[in-house]
Amino acid sequence: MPRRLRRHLLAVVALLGATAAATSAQTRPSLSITPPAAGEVTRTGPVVVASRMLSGRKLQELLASGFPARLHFVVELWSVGGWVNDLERFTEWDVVVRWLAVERVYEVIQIVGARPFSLGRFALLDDAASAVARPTRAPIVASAAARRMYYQATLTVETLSLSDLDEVERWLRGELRPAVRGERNPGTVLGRGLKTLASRLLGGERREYVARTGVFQIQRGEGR
Amino acid sequence: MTRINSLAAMAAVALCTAAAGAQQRDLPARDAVAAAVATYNAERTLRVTGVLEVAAERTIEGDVAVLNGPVRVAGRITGTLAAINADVQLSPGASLGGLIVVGGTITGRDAATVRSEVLQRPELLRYHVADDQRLVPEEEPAYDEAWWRRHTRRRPPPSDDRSWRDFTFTSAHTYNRVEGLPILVGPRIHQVTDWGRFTLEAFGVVRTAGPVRWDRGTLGHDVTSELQLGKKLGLGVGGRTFDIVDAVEDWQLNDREVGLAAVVLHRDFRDYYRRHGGLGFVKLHAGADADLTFSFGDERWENARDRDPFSLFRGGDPWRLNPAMDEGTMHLATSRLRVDTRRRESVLWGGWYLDAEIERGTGRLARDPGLLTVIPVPEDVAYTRGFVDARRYTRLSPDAALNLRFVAGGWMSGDRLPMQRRLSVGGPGTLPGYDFRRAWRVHPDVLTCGGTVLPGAPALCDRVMLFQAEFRSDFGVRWVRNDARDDWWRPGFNRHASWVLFADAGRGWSVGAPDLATTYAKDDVPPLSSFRADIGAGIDFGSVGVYVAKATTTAREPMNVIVRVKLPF
Repeated sequence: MPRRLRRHLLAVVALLGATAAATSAQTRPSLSITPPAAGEVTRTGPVVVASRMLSGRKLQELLASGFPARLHFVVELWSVGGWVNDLERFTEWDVVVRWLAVERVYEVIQIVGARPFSLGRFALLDDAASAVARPTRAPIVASAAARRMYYQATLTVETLSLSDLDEVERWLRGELRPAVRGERNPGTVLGRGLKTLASRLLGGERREYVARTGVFQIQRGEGR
Repeated sequence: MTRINSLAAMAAVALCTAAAGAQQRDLPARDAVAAAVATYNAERTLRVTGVLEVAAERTIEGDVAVLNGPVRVAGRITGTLAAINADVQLSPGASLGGLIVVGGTITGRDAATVRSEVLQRPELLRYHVADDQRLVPEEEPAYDEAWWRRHTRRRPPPSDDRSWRDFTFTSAHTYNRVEGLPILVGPRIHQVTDWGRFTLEAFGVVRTAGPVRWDRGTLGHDVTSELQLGKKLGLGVGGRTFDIVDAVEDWQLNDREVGLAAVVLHRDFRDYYRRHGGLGFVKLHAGADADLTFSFGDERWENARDRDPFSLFRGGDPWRLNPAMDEGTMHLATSRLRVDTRRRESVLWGGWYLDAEIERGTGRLARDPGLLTVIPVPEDVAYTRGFVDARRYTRLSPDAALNLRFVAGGWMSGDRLPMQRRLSVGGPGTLPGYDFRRAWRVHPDVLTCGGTVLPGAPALCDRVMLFQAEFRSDFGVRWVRNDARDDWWRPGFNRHASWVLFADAGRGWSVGAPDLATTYAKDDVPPLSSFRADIGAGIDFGSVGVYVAKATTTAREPMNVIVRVKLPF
């Protein structure tokens, strides 16, 4: 193959690869955390965005089958030390997405503490995904001490049915109660429990995303 | 009032318009929120919850406020569109008097006409709707530094804060060579009141290991009742009556790992004995983090013969014999302190764990049944035994943690400990570089104190001491996963994994006339140079970890490969 043709082929392959990578990046779920503007770090918290979290086909099938998706957010504020870093503060909240078959809508609920807050009901999954992706400010501000700090956000996404979750937890606690109530036979419940346990042990039902801000310096007296 | 709100909305928009012209800008949060909320609360505003679509030929007169959305506009809105927690999509030709978006995005802005300024705050707005249908934004919750607030954040609220009762059918968390799968059947009552709670669990026990007969080998009972005064801080009083099979050393591995090893690998990492009797207890509790329990019991101890329950692999091999135990009646007075400040299980932990127990036992036992050269004769026994398991979990950074554990326990005073209270080290839960109860390469035997020469290789040490340290650090495994594809069920790689380095050192010893090998005087502690140590490394995929451990103080001990379904400690 002539060298020039080979070079052109390589260029085309590289271009295709770059295009594919860019396309993949655009459709891939992502978690981001943005620290407050300089001068605001002692007054307000970082903003967390979880984009395209409902994009996987399997996840969509599970949602459509009535399995809610739970997104658990944990935001931590760390200070940078000499040898070790210190966890200063943290906060956590959940977003639950579920398909309401009767109304044929996806419901999105944010839960902070024990308080649910509706983010809406949507006929389209894309709209539900947009609701999940609404930027959320974490109520966790840096103290006024002059230190170098950074935020880390961790998002765990898992699909579950509330009954399955209960069932698995009961199974792990050793309970086989639903079987006795006649809802399922013991063999099935044990089989489902084992299957779910095995899946969970292998991490197959959960995904974890991590995002971190850069280190920022809090000036002495800032925020007073 | 609504008139004032309407004026306020117009004023807010007009003010911003005058200040910035017809440009889109991210205003200070309060400005955009105030304008959106004022628009929503204005009397003449058309309020919509959910989807709003304005077709190209349609015109809406006046202001419109939308909660949650989405909003798609191809037509005309003569007033201001306030979208709260809603995305706005503008089609070419769309026309708006004004636009305020809080907690949402705007697309198609350039192709549409917005006659006044566009106000936008991207962040979600939390709010509630008051009785008069006015929308009230909620203040960003302040981070409360009060220690009790931090305490409540550490754990989710308990899910059992309601009363319930049922008739349950439950397994007893484990599987072993004496019982097979113990199944508990019976009623449970959980009654929550203003002053505390009352719980009752009355189980009959059915053991599945053959031969299944209508006798005490197959049947037993376990009934526990507790009256708790106070919910977070308080006092509990209760009692328990039981005829159960209990483990001799349950501190090394948890029930789940022991059960899985037995049912899958035909290997049982515990020894067992029968307990039949009752006890009463008083418990001082401080939420889920700490409690102090005093109990007084009267019970009969008996041997538990091993049977031959099913296992997936090596089912044809014999089980390790369940060692013979001391038999007789005992009166037990126990004090137990438990403190657990570890934060959560989903990520690396930080905090303390302490489990400390002192037991005073008096009674009459037929001792040393495993020594076949003598016929056991009942004798009076009185002993005191202590046990401490202290752990510190320290996160060094978001990705790294250093965990330390110290265990010490054994004889404190009185007669020799019964077989049921002896101790050992060695095996996956303590010194993974050494095989469990296979101490013939270790000389002198400081792991079981000579137990491996007896049938079933029982633990014979009067005292043990153990140090464990592990360093773990996360690493990403995203390079093997592609979130855009259908890989939701791809096992093992959906989370971060951790690489782990660990080291352990420990030994057991007997108390008596010193021989400077396995027996030391009661006030002596063996020199650290006599401890057995190992080092190892592994990868923890979150719930399953694979580790390699090598004994460093016994060269002949081969390398061990261990699979754990929980953190090593």
